[in-house]
Amino acid sequence: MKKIGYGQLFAVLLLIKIFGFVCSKSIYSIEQMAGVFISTVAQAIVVIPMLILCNSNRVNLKKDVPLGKVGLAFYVFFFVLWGAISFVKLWDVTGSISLPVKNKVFAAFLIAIVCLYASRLGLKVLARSAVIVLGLLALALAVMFIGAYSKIEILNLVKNENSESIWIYALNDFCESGELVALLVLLNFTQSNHKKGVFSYLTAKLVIIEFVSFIGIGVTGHLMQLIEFPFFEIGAYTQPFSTQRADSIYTILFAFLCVINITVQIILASVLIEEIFPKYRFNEITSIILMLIISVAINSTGMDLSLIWGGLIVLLSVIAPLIMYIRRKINAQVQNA
Amino acid sequence: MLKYKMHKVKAICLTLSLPLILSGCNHSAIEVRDRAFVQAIGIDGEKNPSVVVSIFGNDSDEYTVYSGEGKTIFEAIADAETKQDKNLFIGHIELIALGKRNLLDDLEILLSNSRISPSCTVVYSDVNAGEIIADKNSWNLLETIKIKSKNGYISEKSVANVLDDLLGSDKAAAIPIVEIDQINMAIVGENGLKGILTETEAQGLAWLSETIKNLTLPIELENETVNLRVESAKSRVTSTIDGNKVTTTFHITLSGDVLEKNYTLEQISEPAQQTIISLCQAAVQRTVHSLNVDVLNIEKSIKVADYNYYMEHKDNWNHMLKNINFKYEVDLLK
Repeated sequence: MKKIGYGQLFAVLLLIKIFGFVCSKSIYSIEQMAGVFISTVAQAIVVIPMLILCNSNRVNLKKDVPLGKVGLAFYVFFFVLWGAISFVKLWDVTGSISLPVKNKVFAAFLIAIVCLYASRLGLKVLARSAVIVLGLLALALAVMFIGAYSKIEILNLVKNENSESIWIYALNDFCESGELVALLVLLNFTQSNHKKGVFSYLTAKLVIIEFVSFIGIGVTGHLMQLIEFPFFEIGAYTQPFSTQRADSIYTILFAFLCVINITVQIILASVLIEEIFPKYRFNEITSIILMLIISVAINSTGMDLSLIWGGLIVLLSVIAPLIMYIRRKINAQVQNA
Repeated sequence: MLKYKMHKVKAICLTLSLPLILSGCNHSAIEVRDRAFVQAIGIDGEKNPSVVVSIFGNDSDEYTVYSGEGKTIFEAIADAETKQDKNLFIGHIELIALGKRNLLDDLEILLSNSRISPSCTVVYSDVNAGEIIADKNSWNLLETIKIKSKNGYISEKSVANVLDDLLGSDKAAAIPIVEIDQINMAIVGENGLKGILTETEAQGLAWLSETIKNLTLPIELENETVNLRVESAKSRVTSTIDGNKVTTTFHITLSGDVLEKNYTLEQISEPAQQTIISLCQAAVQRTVHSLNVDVLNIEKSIKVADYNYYMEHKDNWNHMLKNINFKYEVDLLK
């Protein structure tokens, strides 16, 4: 597979994080902002073993991942599950913000076709597209700021009685950071300057989330407790033009983020399937079909996967890379001896 | 050759699937000409709502109104839709007139799923909101509200402003009230109208709510009255807590010029400050002391000053509000 630059790595990671943020129902508050900051600092520490592993020598996915093919299967399961959860989020959001989607399954099917096609073009093409979508994200944030500037009330920036504790928000943010798991695979396909790409992503993600949260709290005040999807509602509250609503920018952005997010999962899952079953030729199609099936199952049963999801992220982005790092250190010492 | 054939197949599949996702080919899409854009809506009925909708016309003098009834607001709107031949679209509503109903519930429902813009203007009617929309040209009404607000006679309020106030501890909000021949300011609560402000009190409220854009303020001097042309005005509220004593200070900063050439800004500065302070005092006296409501962000300023103090005393909010000391600082900039 062709390698991507650190700027493209930055774009891909940021967009998949922002998709999760856009689809979040968690209310914005001072405690949430503090929690996100703590979580980002923790993530900056967690990525260090991955960066060391990839800097010194590429990660051999087949050999280095703990438990070999079984370990790789865990990663495949994670990316397929992530794609399925992304479809569930798509349905959740479209149902709430009154998008003209009459048939949910058909809409998901169309998105799946687009993502399948995009995944067949490869990671390099996706990464280039991600850089372009980054421009759209910047435009959406600029429109939001222009509309919010005169509406922000500093008196709204106060503790929220209905808010959880800072540590709960920190834990929630960390356990929703699936891009940490994606990072381990993506770093293998990044040419150089891994540190730059990763730490730029962490900084940009923190800045954007705090920026949008600040605007949301400042503009909505008491209304935050009534809001279901804060990102979209803030878009409605911060219209820059009196004659025209700018909601379409956020809708278009959401569609692009959804496609890029699911396409990344398909690509990562198919790369790992290839490591497990080198002769299997239908990796992408299998991944997307499994995603759709699991998403329908989650949606119809209303399963809450937050515990499993958080556990997988901790296992695959913290414990597994740590084991890989320790094993490599031990092997190096044994070889030197 | 095989690769070229695969590319062709992919291109054909993509081209064939594009019409499926292009909205123009969607048979359920509604053309703009088949939509009627609602400019204003009046909602009445304590139990079952009745609505009057005013549709945008070709110019500001042209408007048509339709009425409807139902068990819910949206059923009433659907009923109004059946009285004419187009699909009603409420996403561009500019004015909502609410009658004797639960304002909090109505605004929450209207705002849910971003059906209407949060910056839509809200007014209240203690008699019949539907009649206001039906009898008056809603375009002219909206423009009148904007001009009166800009000139400091009333404070224009949006759905977001009113809802934010109603979600406070005292569940009360200041809102323009449209009566037969005039527009004033009213204080409404959960159970309906609490009181109507006088012109002086409404002007004080406008100064404290930062809705004034430009106005001419008459200043009484010893021998004559001069005019201060206010070009911009900003206000903010801060609170300090010393033991159990809460002091709330309203800071008003304004810039302007004297219309009479024989006077300078320095000469009229003190009388101007006194005039503005007396207007603000009238507003605070009526809202806080007489009606016992906070429509001036006092609660928020106390939260910012000392959150723990607020949480300890919030169950006794009405009592706390009555015992606050108020100060006023007015700065006139050149």
